[in-house]
Amino acid sequence: MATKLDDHAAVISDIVDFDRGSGSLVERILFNNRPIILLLCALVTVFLGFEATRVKLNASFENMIPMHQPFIVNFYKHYKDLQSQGNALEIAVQADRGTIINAHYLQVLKELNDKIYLLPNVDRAFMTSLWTPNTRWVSVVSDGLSSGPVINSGTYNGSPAQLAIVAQNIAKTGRVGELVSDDFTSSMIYVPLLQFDGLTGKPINYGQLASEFDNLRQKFAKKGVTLHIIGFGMVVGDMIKGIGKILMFFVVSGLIAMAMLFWFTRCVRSTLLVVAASFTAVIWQMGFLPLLGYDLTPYSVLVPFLVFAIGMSHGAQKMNGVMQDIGRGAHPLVAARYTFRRLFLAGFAALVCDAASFAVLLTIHIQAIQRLAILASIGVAILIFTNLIMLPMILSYTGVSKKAAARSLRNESAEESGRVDHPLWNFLDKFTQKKYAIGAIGIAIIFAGIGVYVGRHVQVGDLGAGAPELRQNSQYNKDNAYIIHHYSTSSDVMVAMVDTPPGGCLNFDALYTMNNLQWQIDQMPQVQSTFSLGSEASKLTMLMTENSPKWYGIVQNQALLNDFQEHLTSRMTNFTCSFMPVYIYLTDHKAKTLNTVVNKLQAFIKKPDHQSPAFKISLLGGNAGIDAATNIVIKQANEFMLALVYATVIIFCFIVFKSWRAVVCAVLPLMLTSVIAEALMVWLNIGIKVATLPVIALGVGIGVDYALYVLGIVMKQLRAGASLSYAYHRTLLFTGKVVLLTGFTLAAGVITWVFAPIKFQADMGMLLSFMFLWNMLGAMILVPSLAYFLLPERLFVAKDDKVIV
Amino acid sequence: MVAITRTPANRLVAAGEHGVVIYSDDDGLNWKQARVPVNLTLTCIRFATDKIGWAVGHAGVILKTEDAGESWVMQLNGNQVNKMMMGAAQAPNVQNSPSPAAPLALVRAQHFADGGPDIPFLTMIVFSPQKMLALGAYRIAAMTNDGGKTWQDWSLNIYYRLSRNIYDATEIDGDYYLAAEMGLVFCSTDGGNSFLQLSSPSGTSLFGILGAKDGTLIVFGVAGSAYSSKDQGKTWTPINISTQDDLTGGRVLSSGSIVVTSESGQIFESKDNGASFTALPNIQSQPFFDVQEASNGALIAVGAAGITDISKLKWA
Repeated sequence: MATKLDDHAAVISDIVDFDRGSGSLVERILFNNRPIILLLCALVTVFLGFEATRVKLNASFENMIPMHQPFIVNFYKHYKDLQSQGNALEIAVQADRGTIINAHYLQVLKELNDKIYLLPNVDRAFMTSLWTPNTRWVSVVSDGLSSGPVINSGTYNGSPAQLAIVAQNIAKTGRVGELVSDDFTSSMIYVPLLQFDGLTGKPINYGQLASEFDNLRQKFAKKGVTLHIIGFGMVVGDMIKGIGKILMFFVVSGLIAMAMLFWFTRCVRSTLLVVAASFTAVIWQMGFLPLLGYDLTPYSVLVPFLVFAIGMSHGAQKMNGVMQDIGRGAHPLVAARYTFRRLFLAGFAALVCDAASFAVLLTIHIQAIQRLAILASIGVAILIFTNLIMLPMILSYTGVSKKAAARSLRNESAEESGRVDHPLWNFLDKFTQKKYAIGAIGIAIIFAGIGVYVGRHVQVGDLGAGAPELRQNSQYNKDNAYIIHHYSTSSDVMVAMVDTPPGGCLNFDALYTMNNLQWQIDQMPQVQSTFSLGSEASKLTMLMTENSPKWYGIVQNQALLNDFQEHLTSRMTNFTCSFMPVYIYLTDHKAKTLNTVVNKLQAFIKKPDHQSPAFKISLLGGNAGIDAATNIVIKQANEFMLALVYATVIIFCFIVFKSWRAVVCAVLPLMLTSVIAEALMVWLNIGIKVATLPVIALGVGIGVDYALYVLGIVMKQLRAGASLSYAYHRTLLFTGKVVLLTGFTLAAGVITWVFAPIKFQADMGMLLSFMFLWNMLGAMILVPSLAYFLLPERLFVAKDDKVIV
Repeated sequence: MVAITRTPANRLVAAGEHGVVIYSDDDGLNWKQARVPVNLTLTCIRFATDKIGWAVGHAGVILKTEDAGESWVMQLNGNQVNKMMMGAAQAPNVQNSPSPAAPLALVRAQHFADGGPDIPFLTMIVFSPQKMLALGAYRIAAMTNDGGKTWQDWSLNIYYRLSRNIYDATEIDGDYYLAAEMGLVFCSTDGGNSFLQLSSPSGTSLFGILGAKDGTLIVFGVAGSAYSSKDQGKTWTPINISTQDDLTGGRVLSSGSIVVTSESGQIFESKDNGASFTALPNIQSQPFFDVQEASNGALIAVGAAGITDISKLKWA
């Protein structure tokens, strides 16, 4: 019986004694052609390393959108008509002292206005500010309608009388809260951007754009005005600046992992080798980006970290094996081949399981997530080559430091000789006993209960205001807060889209319904203001009937309504008078806000009164509409994805263990982690969104590695007839340290993200670190506890066999 | 909010877009929303007693309250107005009417019937809890003598040939005055039975008409135009108000001061019965439509921004 338990093959210190024909076919092919394989690896590294230099930093808006969701489909159907409302910057220019009705302020505003006008990619025709001639007022005079620019550059001279006229003109535009702040302490410059510059034809360079505006911000601060700038361009600009810092995090993560590995091995040579192998995997992966036509985005920038961390943990396993064999006196090549023999299948299964669970993310129809899934799967597949094959091969040439190998062996044999001298292993071993097992499972059930209770409140989408990608105290979010508090048109816009037959945009029923929709939506605390032809028709009615406020409202008189034709603007309807957007300006884009407003809109549309052949209301455009659609997709995907991930993991576990009892032992701790992770998201105010959804899959996928390593060996021992306690203790001796090391190196790889300037990366880092460490605890405490009940002694042993204790 | 009034019991009641009626019992500090059966712009609100009042508005709607403005019932709508007008125009005695509107009455009624029930009431005269006259666009007019149970077309009783918009109405010493489109002014000295045209101060449309403490008649309207008359509308003197903006509403205060609101959020005050007006130096940015003095003397203006207590405005 005892021979079955022997982990060590014969120690062969002289390579001449080694049978090159031994081992599996794969092993023979690989190890008998070491120079060729290594040369191939080197060539691939050079090629992909060269490709990697072509990686571009970019952030694409559309990649983050679920393009098949009905809201988004509707939005893109109307994309052309909504374009004037698309990519724009809003700049609130705040007077440091007093109000904007001030000669100095208006002079500075003019300078700024002229500077911005000349920047590349600015859509100059549609740029608006107090100084642009397209900012006009309309008023009724005794002989008809009169109108003019808010600031008449011909007559304006900064005198008090002229300033008073400017103030009155602003009031007459009816756009207080949009053009100027409600309290008259700032005014808005609206800067639409062209994807391709009108003169040079160059696309927007967001990094450059953001720094241009930051320069203006500093320059004009000296002139007594404060700029508050918001818009997609600024968010992207800030994120690209943030990605630069990520490189530093990568270095820090690498150093931490290296320090841990060194502390574990005390061997510089092998530590560097493992780091080099993992880094090679990252280079290969980066090389794949341009080959696949992908850009490095703020989302996918995290994948190399993961690959590096997973690589470090698997590399450590390999090195541990090689080191132990060399310590026993084996030749490096023999040690490498034995290690390969022992660990390749377990490692391979673990990595394939990782890759498969990442691939599950492909079912979510958001390109950013799908690309992340592909990248992560490729990255993990690369690790099979670099860390499971290339690394042991290099180790077979280099060997490890003799001192370190001897130390490793010393520790191992010391532990093997007696069962009492390692307090941690002995403590963990106790969980194979009834008392401790019940205790551990009891505590786990309590945690699960708390997790489920708190986790119920987990929300889909963003939980904070402003740009969720960036931190709340970032310049951008401060600017956003200023604009929300001082203007009635926020940057969080939902657009309900109303279609009519061509020429039908002035249909009474359509306008009346839109007006009522706005009226109902306006009452919601989540809504700052609304705009559409529906509400403008009320104003136009008044304007066309001598401007008496008593006419304010939509009059059921189609002839009167048809007279509005010449007053329609591109913001109210399209060129063919067949499409009318209803702009809904929200206080923020928190998940709850979006949900409430979308529900209200859907309930409104559903009513038979609000349906007619004359018009059709469809949802939903605008940046907040896109957020709402994304939330809906994420919510649907979340449970489906979890089910798939667990199905994948369960199938792999079953293939490896061939016992449903073992599968339960392996999977239950993972489920506990998932449940607690949801509770953690509630406590940390993290919503389930494009950035955090993959974390849940990654956490489960990588978490199962521990169980595969721990339970795999336990099962082997049990099948050989060992008692659970004996099997578990031997497992701890063999892989316990490496499992600990794995947990900490994985966590070290991602914990640095917590300090990332980009908030969703910080969220991901926090969650992943937690899941990696918690899964490790689960594997070391819960797995033996569950095994006590599920894998009783003699389960795999014939009745008369003696149990090894 | 388009219109505001004060009940004899000092409750402030304001009405406006989407049929919203709100009321305040503490001089405009706190407001409650009334139950209203329509979703249309209400243009004028007036009370006969503490409890009984009317509100009129778009699509020929007349609403009545008997509980001081907390709940309202509809008494008339645009279809009924059109039917009523048609009935009056087809009546056999129309041809004998002395009204200059009589010859065109049938054509006009037919035109409105074709156009649909869209014509808004814009103002009203409340004579008593039983008697009320609603007036509106295109000279539509509806009279009740039984608290709103039955209504009669009154448009022929406004002696004018064409269909002009009547924007405001007021009572001065038992006589009733109307201000209308194109500078028209009418007066009834027979308790509202017949309204005769007075001389027009100009061709500019008038949105408001007030009677000052000393009996001076004041009218105002489009593009800052305003006129006063000391002889019941026989002759008019222009008042210089320094604005080109429309003057939208006005009120004579208990002190005798007169205040007038503008579309650009200004308020002009006269302390000499309308001889001269000065602008209150405010920075309100949204249009004002009407103004009312609360029982504590506070000036409450209504407009595009809802309710504004003028005394609490930030002065620039």
